[in-house]
Amino acid sequence: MISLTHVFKTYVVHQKKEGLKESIKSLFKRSYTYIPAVKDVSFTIKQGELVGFIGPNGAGKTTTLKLLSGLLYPSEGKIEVLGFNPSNRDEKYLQQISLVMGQRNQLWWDLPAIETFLLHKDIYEISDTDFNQTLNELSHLLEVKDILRQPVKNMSLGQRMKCEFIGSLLHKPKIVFLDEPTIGLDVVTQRKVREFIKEYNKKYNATVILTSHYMDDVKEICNRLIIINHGSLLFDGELNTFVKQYANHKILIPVFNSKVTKEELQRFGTVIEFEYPRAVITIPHDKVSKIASELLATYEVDDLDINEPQLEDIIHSLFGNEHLKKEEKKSTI
Amino acid sequence: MKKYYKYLRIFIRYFKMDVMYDLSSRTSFFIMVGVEVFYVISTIIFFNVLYANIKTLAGWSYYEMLLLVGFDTVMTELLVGVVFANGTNALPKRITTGYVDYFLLKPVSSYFFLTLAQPYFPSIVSTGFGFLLMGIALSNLSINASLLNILGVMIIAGCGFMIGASIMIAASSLSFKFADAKTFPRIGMNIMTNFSDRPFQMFSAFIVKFVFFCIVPVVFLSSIPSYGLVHGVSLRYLVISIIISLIFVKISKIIWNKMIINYTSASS
Repeated sequence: MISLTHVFKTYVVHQKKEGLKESIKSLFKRSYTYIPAVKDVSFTIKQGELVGFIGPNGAGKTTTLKLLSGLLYPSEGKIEVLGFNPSNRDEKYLQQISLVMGQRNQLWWDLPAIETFLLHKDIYEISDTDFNQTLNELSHLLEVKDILRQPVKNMSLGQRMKCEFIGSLLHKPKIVFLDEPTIGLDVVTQRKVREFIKEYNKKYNATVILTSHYMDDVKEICNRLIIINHGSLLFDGELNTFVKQYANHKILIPVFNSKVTKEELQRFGTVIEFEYPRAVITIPHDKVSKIASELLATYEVDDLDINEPQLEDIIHSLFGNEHLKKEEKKSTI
Repeated sequence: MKKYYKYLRIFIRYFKMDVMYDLSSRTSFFIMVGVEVFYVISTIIFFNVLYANIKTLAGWSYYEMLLLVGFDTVMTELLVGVVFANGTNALPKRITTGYVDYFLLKPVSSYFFLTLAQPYFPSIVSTGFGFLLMGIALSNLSINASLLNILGVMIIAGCGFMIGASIMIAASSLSFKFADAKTFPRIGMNIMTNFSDRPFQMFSAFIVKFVFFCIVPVVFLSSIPSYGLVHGVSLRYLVISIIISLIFVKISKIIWNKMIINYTSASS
């Protein structure tokens, strides 16, 4: 359904130096830099998959989404989505996709949201029956029925985002690209949006590709994870596999009943939190049972939890290491 | 045919939305219409001053000239209202802000959607002043134009509109390549409107005639049609206007498609 084969995208950016003199100089002579945003990326996605596409800022996530939706032409490589080359922007292809960007809006600011929906009805040639049915269904799911006739400028960010979703999904797209859809939303609305995405996927068997900086989005919505950094793919697989592959430690959380100090606990592993009687210790993956039994034998323990590390922590350590490796490489050069 | 019906529906929808939007801000609406009226009045004053000193201009009497001014007001306001205001003029900003993404992701031809789909209501209202001037001029000229003649005038004016729109769209499409140059749409607009209210007989020298009939064929927008309304439509001009408009539309589409490849969506 979606296939990328050795895709590259390089931006040519004009380098503007500071100062008036340099500005005048740049009228006659300009220097450009080539910024590789996507480097040799290949993957395939099947119909109905929920894929989390994550990476730090500037990793190439949005560029990849724009390549997939046809907004950008790849510098090299082949992209095929639903049997189309997205950059041809075939109307039959555009009829089946939707791109929702959390930081951009498509609703008319001064008019009620329903007016933009009616515009989309004409753009996507949706019949009256289909339009009314889908609008009812989506507005019910997102709980925005009462505000559709209210000017967009008077809506809260959460209400606006929900209406953006409706506007983007009225034509029931087979593929939905979501670029940070929960950015800036409160916790309750974030949860509602996540539930809605899952519900939409289930009902229409739509493929959803989601980029987000909120790991809760990825954990709750996606069953597959694609991690990109500096334009290159770092990981592509199931969420659980990722945790197993990249988390070389587990989290031990004992609640003590006898006296213990932070210093004493250091010999078991890295103490990342200590507030008597509770401690949080990271320990190597392969020594969990040994350390846990040693701890239980040494101290009186009321409760003991052994957890997998949080996705955020793994991602953080992964990108942190990447950063360190890069710095090391630089210093050796 | 189905495709054109879809585009017409989108155009009408945008028109309704623009009317709702403009009417929601009353002051702004009256100022916008006021600016257009001021422009028309200043043009009439100019020709009144001119005709106080001369009897004819390139063979055109005062009322013939008033008809031309009225006709040109209608045509230029239509170009502003349909092509320029919410279309080509908005393009550079939409490119730099990344709002073009919205249009490119919709299953509608970008050529139509980004330039012709969104009419500007105050300009459409301002065409009324053009019709008023035409009415005054025609009642003083006592013309008995046949239906066939009126049809011919409308075809030439339609071709003139297509030529104007093509030039404006082609000029504005350069913004895709030179994103920081925001003047292309205005250049396209000025090319069309700066000379369109002049009698075409003024362009008599060979080079000038070649420029205004073939390179920038502004004469087909107002001058030739309004002359045709008074003196009868020339079959030669009718055929030429159709051929030239088709050529310009084709060239404009080619330029648009070449330029849009350069679009690099602004980062979010």
